[in-house]
Amino acid sequence: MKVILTAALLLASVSANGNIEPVISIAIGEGGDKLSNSTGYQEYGSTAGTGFTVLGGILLPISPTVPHRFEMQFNAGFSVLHHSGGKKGDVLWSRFPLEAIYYYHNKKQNFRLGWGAIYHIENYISANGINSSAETQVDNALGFILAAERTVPESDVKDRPLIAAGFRFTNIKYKANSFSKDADGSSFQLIYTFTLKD
Amino acid sequence: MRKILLLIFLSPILISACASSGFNRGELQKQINVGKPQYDDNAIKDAYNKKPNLPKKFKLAFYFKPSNSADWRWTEDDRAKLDGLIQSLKSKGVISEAFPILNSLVDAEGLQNIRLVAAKHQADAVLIVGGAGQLDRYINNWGWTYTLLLPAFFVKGSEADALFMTNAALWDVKNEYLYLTAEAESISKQTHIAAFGKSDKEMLLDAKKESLTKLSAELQKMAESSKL
Repeated sequence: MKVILTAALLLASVSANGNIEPVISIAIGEGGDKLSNSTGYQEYGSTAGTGFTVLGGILLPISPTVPHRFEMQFNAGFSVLHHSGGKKGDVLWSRFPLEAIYYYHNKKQNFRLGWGAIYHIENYISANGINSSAETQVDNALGFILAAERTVPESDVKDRPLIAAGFRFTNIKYKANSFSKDADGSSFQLIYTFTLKD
Repeated sequence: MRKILLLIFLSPILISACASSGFNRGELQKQINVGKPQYDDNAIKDAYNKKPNLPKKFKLAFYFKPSNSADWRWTEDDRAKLDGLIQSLKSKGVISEAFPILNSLVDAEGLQNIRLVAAKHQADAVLIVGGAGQLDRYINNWGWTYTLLLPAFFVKGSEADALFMTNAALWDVKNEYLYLTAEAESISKQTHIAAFGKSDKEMLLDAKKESLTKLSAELQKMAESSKL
C-alpha cells in the first residue's frame, strides 16, 4: 500500500513538473566479504561488493527549484564480476540491481548528495572447474545507498543534460541456502552518470 | 560527534537555503527589442530630422513580435486586449481602421521588414508589441524539509515567481518616426508544494495576461497625451 501511494504521488509530481529524463550510469565498485568464505572456501578471490555495473533509468524532478533542486532517480541495471581462474575454472558473480535514490542537487555549487534503497535480484554465482561447487543462486537482497557526486557546471545552454561523477556507498548483505554464512556486499563505487536529452 | 558531523554535512544546504536567484531584466529587454540600436551620429541626426506624417484618421496596423520561447505564445485573447484601445482611438476619430499583420508575412525580424509588410497593407502607422518572460523557482525556509522526500508532497516549501515584460512602439510606416512607446511588466507569484504547483507555462500565462492589461492601459494614456 505504501509503495502504491508513493508511486502515485511521484507520478502526480511528474504531471505537475514534467521533464522526466532518461539517465545512464556506469560504475566500478570494490568491497565486501570474500564470496568463497560463504560458498565453501573455493579458490577464487571475488568479493561480494566488487564489480562493474551498468545502469539505465529515469531522473524525475521533485522540486525543480534553483539553485536547490530535489530529484528522484530510478535505475535498473546489471552488475558483474568475473574471476578468471585459468585451469582452476572461472567464476562469474552477477546480479541485477534496482535502485531508487533521492538527490539534493545544488546547481550553483555543482554537486549532488543522495540517499536511497537498492534491491539486488537474480543474484547468481556461476562457476566451473575446481570452483564449480561455488555455483549457487543467491537470494534477493535489500540494502541502502549513499551518494555524493560532482556535476559539470551548466553552460549558457538552457537545460543542458546532467553530467555527474562521484562516489557511492552501498550497504547490502547476501544470503543463500547454500551459504555457510552471509556475505556482506557493502562497497564503495566510482560512478559516472549522464542524462539523455534532446 | 555524529550530530556535529551531520551538521557539517548539511551546512552547505542550510546556509544557502532559500535565496531567489532573481530575474535577468537585461536579457528580457534584449528579447522584446525590435532591433539593436545603432549609435551613430548620422543616424541620430536623421532621427531628429524626421517629422510626424500621419493623416487624419490614419490606418493602423499592429504586429505582435513572435515569441522565441517554448513556454509562451501570443494568443487571440492577447490580441483582444488591444480592442479597448482600438475602439477608443476609433471613437475619437484618430484611426479609421486597425488590422493585424500576420507573422507569416514577415520574412525576417527587424523594423524595416515589419514596415514593409505594413506598407503593403497600406497602413500609415504600425504598432509593434513585444513580450518576454522569465521564471524563478526557489525554495523558502520550509524547503530544507524536502531532503526527507515525503515533505515534498505536503509542505509548501517552493516558491515560483514569473516575470513578464511587454512593450509597444508606434512607428510611422513611411519615415520611421517614433510616435509613442509604452512598457509594462507583471510578476505572478506562487507558494506551493514541491511535487505540485503550476507549470512554467501556466505561471507565464498569468503574468502575460496581467502585463498586457497594464500595457493596454499605458498605451491608452500615452495616446491621449500625445498629438496623434
